[in-house]
Amino acid sequence: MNKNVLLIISVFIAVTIFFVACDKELDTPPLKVVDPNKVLEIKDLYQIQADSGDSYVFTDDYMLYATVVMDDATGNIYKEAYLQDSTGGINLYKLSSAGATKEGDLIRLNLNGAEIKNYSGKMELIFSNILDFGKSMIVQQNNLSLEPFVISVTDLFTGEYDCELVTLTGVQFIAADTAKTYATLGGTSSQNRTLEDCDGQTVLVRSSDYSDFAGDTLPAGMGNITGIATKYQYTGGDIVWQLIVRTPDEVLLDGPRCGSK
Amino acid sequence: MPEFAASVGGKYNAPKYWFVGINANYFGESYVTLNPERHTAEALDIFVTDDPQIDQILDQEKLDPGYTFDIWGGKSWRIKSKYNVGFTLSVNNILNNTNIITNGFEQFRFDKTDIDKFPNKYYYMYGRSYFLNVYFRF
Repeated sequence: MNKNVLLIISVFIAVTIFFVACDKELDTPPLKVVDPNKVLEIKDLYQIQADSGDSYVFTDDYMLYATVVMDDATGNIYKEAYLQDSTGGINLYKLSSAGATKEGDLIRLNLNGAEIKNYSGKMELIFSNILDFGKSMIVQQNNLSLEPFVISVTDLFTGEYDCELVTLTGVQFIAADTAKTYATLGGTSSQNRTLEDCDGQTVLVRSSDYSDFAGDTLPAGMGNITGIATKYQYTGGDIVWQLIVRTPDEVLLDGPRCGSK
Repeated sequence: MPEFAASVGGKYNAPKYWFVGINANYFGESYVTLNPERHTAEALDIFVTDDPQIDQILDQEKLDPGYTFDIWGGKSWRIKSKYNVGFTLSVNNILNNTNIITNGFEQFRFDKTDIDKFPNKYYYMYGRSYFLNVYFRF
């Protein structure tokens, strides 16, 4: 074979190898795919508890997409959070660390290992057996603003807003409580203060002694108050309706009290 | 390190034994060095395909391209037709652009539950630098 032809062929092969040898796309490790049949909504968790009773434990990778409507930043709850989606709200209980969630985050929860329990009327999704909650929760979006349901005390009593963010309208702290603080600064428990509407229907505002605002004096006027609606059901069936305040900035009770002109 | 680099310049040699030159340098297609751990199945086992963190973990950050200008010049003298004395002066990065990232790397530690915990590290371009060379030839 002619030497020049051999040279041309060699150069051609070398150039070809040079251009095809470089694969710029990096290899991607195998990734899990969410099984659409294993994506649950909060109402499904209520249904599972209704069907299976307390202490149901997930043993497979079921996913829940929901928004954090209350975190433990102000200390009014600790290692807890409240989640909400379009179907309802639920309490995340005993997470592996404080500050694990952030209000306004849309998260994907892997429910594997979590337990569902109806704790005296409050539905809890318990992660106490999960050593690192951070591996069960993946943030999808930040800073979502979920508007509270604006409701009356009568609406709250329907039970449709359990563990959801609500704004109660037309309420005031009872006269006996207006000189009190949200909780006992330096205490080690939680305190109840009583809200009433102008019809005398009452709701408890339950605040932790460890909250940042435990020592703040309660406002004496009437108006709106925003927080998480919960309830406590006694063994006999009696229900106490409660509200958990996220921050005093959302307690806007500065209008004239019921009955005053 | 940059995968693309180019330099163009010009030089003027004057009859009186002095010269001056300028160079424009461009470099681009730079990527940070990967942390292989981020590309293992173990690093991604808590994620699913739709999670926004996947791209953040796997994507290799591309650094912005940059350019610098260098100038240099010099002059020499002949002494008694026997010796030669002169100097050259060069100034690199005359615009003193220190915002150029010349190289970077992903840290070799990685927390999948907080992927921004150990952010990428970068090396930056030196600022304006001077080099003076004085010589005497005999």
